[in-house]
Amino acid sequence: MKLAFAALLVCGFAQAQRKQLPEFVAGDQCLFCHRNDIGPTWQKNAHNLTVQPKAGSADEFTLGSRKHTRQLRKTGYGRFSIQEKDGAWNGSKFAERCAGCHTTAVNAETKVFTEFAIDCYACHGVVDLEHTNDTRLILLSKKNRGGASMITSICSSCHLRGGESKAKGLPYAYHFVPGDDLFADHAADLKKAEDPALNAGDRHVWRNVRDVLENNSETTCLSCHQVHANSAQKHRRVLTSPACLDCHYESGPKKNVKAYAAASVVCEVP
Amino acid sequence: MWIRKGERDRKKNVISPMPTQVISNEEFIPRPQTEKQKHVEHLITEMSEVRAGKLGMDRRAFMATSMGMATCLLASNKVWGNSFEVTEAEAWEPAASEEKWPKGEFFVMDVQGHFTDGYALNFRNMEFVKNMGFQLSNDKEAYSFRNFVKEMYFDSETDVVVISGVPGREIQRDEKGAMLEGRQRRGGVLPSWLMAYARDEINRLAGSARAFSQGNLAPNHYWDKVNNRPDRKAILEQMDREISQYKIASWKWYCHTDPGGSGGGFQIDDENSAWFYDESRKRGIKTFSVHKGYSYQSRTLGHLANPKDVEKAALNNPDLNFVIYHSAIQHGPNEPDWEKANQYDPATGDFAWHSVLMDIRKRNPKINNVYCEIGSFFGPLVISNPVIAMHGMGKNIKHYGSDHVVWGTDCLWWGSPQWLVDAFKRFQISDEMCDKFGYKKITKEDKAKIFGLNAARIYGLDLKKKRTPLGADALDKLKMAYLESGPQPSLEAAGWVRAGD
Repeated sequence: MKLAFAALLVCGFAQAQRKQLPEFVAGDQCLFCHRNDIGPTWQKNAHNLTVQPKAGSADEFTLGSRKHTRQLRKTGYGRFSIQEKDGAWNGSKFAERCAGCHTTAVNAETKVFTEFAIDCYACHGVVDLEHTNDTRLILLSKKNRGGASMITSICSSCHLRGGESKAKGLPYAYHFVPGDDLFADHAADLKKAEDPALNAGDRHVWRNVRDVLENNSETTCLSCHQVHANSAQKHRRVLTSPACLDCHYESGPKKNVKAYAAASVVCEVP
Repeated sequence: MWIRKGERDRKKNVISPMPTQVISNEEFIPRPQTEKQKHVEHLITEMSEVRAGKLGMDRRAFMATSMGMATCLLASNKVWGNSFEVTEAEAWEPAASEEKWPKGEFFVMDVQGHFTDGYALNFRNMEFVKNMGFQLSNDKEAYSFRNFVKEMYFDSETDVVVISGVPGREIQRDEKGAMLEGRQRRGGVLPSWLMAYARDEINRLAGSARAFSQGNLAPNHYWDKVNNRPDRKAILEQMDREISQYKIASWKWYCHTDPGGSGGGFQIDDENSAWFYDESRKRGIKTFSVHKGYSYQSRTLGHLANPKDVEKAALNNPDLNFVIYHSAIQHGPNEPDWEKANQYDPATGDFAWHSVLMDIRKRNPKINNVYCEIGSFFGPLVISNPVIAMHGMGKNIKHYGSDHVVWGTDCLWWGSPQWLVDAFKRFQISDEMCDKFGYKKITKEDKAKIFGLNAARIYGLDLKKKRTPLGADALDKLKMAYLESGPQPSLEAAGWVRAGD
């Protein structure tokens, strides 16, 4: 089995596995200053909705959105119990399977998360307050875009479904911090990119990750997706390439896209 | 097609110290300029051209004077109804304004003044501020303590400022358990230790009480993660420090922030707050300044900024004062659609979440310990939608009384607060709206209370005591040792509007 991590050695990432998660500034504080640039859209951004509090309840939450949802109950600090399809409550499944991508800063030893939903830290990492005077100090800012491998590490930490932590066997990486090499711990067989069983959405992600890691592609998720605008408008600017065929037909109007049903073993969908 | 707002104004020859439309920051599609906004803009241009021409002045120079502001207010009145007491004479002669609105007429106590610990926050790049025509700089010096003193005390009529907290908590000890002090405690953009230091500096230079400071500590700032509850020992340690050492005059709470990594926010009527009240009460601090509204200052906890929890807290603690900041208005000045986003109902004048705060008083007419603070409430409303401003101020006074409305500005985020002082001096509710909605005209007595007498009462300020002004050399005498030097930020301005507007 060919693993991806070898390709990452060239990126200058922090390679040592972190024993502890770092202290970080929570998103609420970020939004005090970024109330007018990020604030107006963030509450409706999909990253912010991976876990949603239920109105009028301090302990009840909803996981997912639209067609695929599960109910959650807070059972302690950084812990959720998840309701199974048969109505029973499962106290460990959320921590074992969901926490890595639906919450922020999960301690892989205790499986306790720090913030629910995806906080600024999940992409921008540990932020120095001095970034207000020098935006190069914040990862993924206009003046510090990060390389293709770094961006791919960050996005893949959630969007590359099917990898596994080498240290813990969890479906999410061990103490990954943006700026680190995700694949130092997260094993992903990139041959899966051509797996015909993959749905179009997952295949699109796998192929892009493979192209960055193995073929030195400079096209990353951020080339086409604007996270804060919650938009993929930029992808219309991309020249036609084989990657387009993941979703579009080879001929005919581009607005016609292939229908597909999301499927994930990790997420138990469908 | 989108074009830069500045480019569009240059093309259309628009020069206005007041905003004439809402601008996009690329996060949302520019909203078309409304008919009323177009009308105001047209009138401002037309009226200022006539006046500047007759006075033999360049129009840009004219707009920078009190006559320019008066012209804008006249134009606003023509379109939105009479929300400003302004005469034609003021748009022709600066002396007319000076005579009618003499400086120093009111005692002004601003309960919401901010600066930063050397960080530029980008607020001054907001389009509605830029459109005021002040051309404020946005580097870290613009947000500094030194500039705070200049803009609050020298460039405005403000007599006393309450230095108000922003979300953040201090780190109490280092990794070896040794107590940290001063800058080592960090604490975010404006920590409690720095507010106390700045207050002492101002009062030392003035030789009298010209500043108070708040404390940032809140019930969720130190968290026992093993037992999933507040770390009461750490909270009490910080409480003692902030009260005894920092000598704070009020707490400043943000229910919808979580600097302690507790995994949630809090409500001012929950059991952790109740415990905090008891401990604070024992130590003599009985004023709780609570940020409510501006809900997108939170990632996931925005609903906790709804003021619904004020009711129980106020009823259960009649000996405490609850100053509700921003009068609980839900959204901010750059909201793409202010009326829609705040669910403004023109039939009633209600809007989110101000109406929740008003309903509390309607249900509980005996509540006497809740105050409506108007920082970033009156200002943005009065320049962008004076009708909502009239509703907001009209309801605050109608339901809570003019003795329970408190002056705050949120400056120096918006530069010197003088433009807000000037605007509130002239602000009035139209006859039509008084008749239709049962509001009362705002009297000079009302304005005196709102401008400062109410805050003085809350903070126990003896108005009979002499308050000496800061000397002309005060800025040079400020001890600035805590200010760090650093690289200057990019001052790139952004903002897009539709090319057709």
